[in-house]
Amino acid sequence: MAVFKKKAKKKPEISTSALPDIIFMLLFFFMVSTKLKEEDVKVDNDLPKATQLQDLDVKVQTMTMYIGKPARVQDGSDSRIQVNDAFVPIKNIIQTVETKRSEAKTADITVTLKIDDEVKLGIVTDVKMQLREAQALKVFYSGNKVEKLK
Amino acid sequence: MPKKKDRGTPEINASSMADIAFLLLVFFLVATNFPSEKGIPSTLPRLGSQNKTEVDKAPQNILRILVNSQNKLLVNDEELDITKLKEKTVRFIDGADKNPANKQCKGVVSLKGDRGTKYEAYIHVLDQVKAGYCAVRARELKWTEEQVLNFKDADVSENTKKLYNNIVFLYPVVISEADPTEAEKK
Repeated sequence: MAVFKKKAKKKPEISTSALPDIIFMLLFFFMVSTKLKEEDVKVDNDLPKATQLQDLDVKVQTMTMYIGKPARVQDGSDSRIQVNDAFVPIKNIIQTVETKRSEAKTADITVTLKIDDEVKLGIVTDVKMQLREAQALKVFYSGNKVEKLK
Repeated sequence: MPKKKDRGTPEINASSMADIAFLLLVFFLVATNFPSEKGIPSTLPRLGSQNKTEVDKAPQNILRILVNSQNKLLVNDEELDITKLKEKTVRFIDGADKNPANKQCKGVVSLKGDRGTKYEAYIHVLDQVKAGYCAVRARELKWTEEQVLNFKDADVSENTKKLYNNIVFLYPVVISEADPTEAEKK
């Protein structure tokens, strides 16, 4: 009678050689989709809570404007406006909008207003008046979504 | 002379490549913030525009909201809590809607804040007024409020679009903000 000698089977190993490829694929995805924060926000920026928030159309050209109390003490304690990493005095807003327009090569820009919830309405009104003078009429009040206001 | 050993082609050990890739991956995972801008879109009135919408100045056609520097609300000369503003807006829209004189123009919400009002309070008022309109539109369309709010032109049928635009036409959000007076300008 023939005896079948049991072969000593080696434990099957899972090949991990494809692992780096998978990881690289994920890596590329995140590298491409990442938008690193291009500006350093120098003002307090707690956005107000709201329920009726909508998504900003990704196709439009936007200019982000931060308004809030400066984060550093040496910048003063009054609310200030920040555009592109720098504080902008109110009277220069029109000029800033024009610069942005020539950069974006379109007159149709939306101004995203990221305003701290502690800011007084006075400065906001002034900014809005300047934007109206600059003919930048589309604004977008950024906020944080909540289901219900307290 | 000793014969040179045939060493074969040296192989680079690639097992640490995954680790390096992991490290980079983790960095990008942490650094990524997907651009998700959420906010309330609004259009400012043109400066010195002559074509102001003609509104019947009858009191039932205007919802006057005043936010004072203590962030308190005064709606049509009555103090009101912010939580009741949505309901008030809905009632106002319905009231203005029933007025037979309002064929062309609907009610107008007039919003006025003080220079000392907190921005948060102002946004809450804007938010609640919009919520009121959203609720009315949702009721008329028999949709949920979420559907009305997140309505996007791109991903619906022609019919739905027509239905929605009709409702927007019937219940337009008209929020008028008083121009700052000369004294308020700096």
